[in-house]
Amino acid sequence: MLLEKRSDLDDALSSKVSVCVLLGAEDTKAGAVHGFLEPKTWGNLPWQTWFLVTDLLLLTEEEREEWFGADRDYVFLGRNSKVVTGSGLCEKDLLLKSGACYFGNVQRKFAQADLQ
Amino acid sequence: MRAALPAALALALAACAPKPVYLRPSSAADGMVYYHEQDRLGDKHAISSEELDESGREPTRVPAPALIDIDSTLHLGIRPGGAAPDGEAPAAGGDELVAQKQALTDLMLKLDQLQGLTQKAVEAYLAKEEVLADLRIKEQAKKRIEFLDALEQRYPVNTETGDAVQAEIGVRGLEGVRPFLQVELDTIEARDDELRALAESRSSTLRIEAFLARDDANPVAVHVPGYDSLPEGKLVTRDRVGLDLSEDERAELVKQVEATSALAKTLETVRTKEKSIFEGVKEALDNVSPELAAKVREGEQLALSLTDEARLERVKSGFKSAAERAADDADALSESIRAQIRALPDALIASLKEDVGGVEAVLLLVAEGKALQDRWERLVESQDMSATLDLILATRTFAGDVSKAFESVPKWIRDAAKHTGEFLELEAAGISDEVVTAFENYLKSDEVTDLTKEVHLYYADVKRAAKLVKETLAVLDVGKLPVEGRVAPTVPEAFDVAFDELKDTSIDLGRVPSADGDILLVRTTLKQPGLDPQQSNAEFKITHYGWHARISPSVVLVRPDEVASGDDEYRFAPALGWMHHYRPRPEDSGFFADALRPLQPALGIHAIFLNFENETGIGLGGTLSFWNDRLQAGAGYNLSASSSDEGQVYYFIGSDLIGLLQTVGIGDNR
Repeated sequence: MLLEKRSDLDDALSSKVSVCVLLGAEDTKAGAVHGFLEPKTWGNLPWQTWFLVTDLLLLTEEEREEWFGADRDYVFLGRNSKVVTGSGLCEKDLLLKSGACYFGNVQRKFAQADLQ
Repeated sequence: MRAALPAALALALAACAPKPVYLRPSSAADGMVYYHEQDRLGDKHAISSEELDESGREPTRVPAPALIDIDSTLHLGIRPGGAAPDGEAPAAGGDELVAQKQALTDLMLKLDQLQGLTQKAVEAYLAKEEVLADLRIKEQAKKRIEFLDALEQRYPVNTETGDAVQAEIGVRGLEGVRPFLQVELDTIEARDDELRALAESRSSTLRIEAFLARDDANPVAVHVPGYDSLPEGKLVTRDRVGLDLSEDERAELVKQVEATSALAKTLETVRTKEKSIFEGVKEALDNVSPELAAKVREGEQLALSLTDEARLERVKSGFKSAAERAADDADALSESIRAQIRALPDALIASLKEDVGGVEAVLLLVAEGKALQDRWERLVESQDMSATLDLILATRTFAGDVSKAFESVPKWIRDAAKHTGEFLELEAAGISDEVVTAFENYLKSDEVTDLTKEVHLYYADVKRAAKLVKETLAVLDVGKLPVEGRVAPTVPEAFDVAFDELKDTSIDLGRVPSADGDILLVRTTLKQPGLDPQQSNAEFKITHYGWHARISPSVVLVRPDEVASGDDEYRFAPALGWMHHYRPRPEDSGFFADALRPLQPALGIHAIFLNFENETGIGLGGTLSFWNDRLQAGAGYNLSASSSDEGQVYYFIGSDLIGLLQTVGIGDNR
């Protein structure tokens, strides 16, 4: 979902769900991934959720640093621990060379988050 | 001179004694089976090579037939090395396919497991069972990572198929992967079937079939363990002492004893001149081979019928009348042709009389006459002119055929054929309405129909005579293929065995209802990729090696040592001996074996039905025989005599006559 209010992220961070946060405008690679995930036909599970953060100000300074650093645009957070289980560049990890979504890796990243 | 005769007889009989025969291996199939025999005491004897070679199993000879003991086991050592190696099998392709099939099946399994775990996790999560849900979610997560890793190994991303798989996941989740796996699995299975069929067609196989054959019966299939689905067969306990007879053997012995007694009686009546030798032989034949005797009787009747003067006279006058009628009707014929036609019947009758013995010549003549007659009959039936003309035209060809047909018969028949040919040629050449009408009338005349009827009957008898000759030859076994030369049928229960499943096997003769002299045929068929099937035939004649005894009826010439009346001539009598034989094995050597082999001696005791001084009695004593009881000599003690001048001691010389006759093909050959 497109993160419009901070409370939605807080709810997710305080629940037993695995979280994927994509950072970027809708016309970026992160936005493209978000667009692929939204139909929810790719085998997403009820305890998995994702946000597209287009406004960096919705994130704390600490979150921005820890999750994305200088050059990352996605992060997966553990279902229980909320520690970073995976982060990187959408273009490299979540999209295929063709520009289509690398759904398999999305599932893998969520599964890794489910374990934490 | 007197000494030379028995020596020649001995040599001839010794030459007839069965000996093992071998051929050189000539094909890969010959080299595949190594035969050896294990006797009833467990000792092994070489067959496929001169010395037993159980480890090398190199056949250096093919039995054709070898002799084996009736109570032994025939071992077949299979030696695939004897054949050329298999064609290149598609093993590599097959292995790859198996691996791929396994990988796909594993993926399918993992997917099923993952979906099962995921469902359980979702159920626990939705049920808010936190602990359980936590556990289940982690389980499915591990399985998911494992599955995705394997999936991407098979369908790497950024490839056409890999990206298609990813696209399907986007639409249907991991369930979208299943059709990819299934299609690939189906393709591999289809290819696998093809490879299997190809492998089967490329692999070599061996088929082994065995039969038991005897002179008077068709070959019977024998079970070869591991190579057919025939029943194992019952184990038969054979009595080598020859006294424990089966019901069939006892019945056969009784028949032989009765035949021997009747034979001795008949021969005695001939000796005492009560009957002529001709009558004696006929009567003896009745005892030895009732079937042959019946044929001889029928032949006598037919010969009488065919040479019956009155009958021949009827044929002669029939021909005469028909010829006269023909001569009268055919105005266009010259006087010389008419004279020749009139001469025909006499020449024909002379031939019939002369050639009754040579049925073939008569048959040929009458068969040609029959063909001519058939044409006449058809001509009579075909009332229309066009058919008549066709048939008359056909006579032109027929005239030539008649001449050809009679080329091999005596000169007078050739002359007759020539005259007939000229006559027919003339008729066909001078076709005119008048001639045709005259010819039609001639065919319908009483003379021709009477002659036709008579010739029909005569022809039927000649045909029967020819058939009788054939039947008699069959009874005598003349012209019949020896067992060794017969082609055994296939055994439907036998199957082809692939090379990697070949095993040694054996045929236990104790389970085969065989008899002395039977032939065991073993046929191996080798099929190799790209080559025509090869067959190897091995033959084994069943015999008794070592000691064995049997009861043997015989006809003997017996004479008393001393009788008061002085009538101490030899006379015929039936005897029954219990003869003990010893047959050395081929590998046995030394004086004893060398002497036994050609002489085939036997020692035994006998009982004889004596008739000295018009007193019947029973004698008991010892017998020494040679050449399988064909020549017997002995002496004994007359139990009915009270003093030496009543023929208390007697001597005899005789033969197992029934066996001898059977050997030359007369009588029931068992």
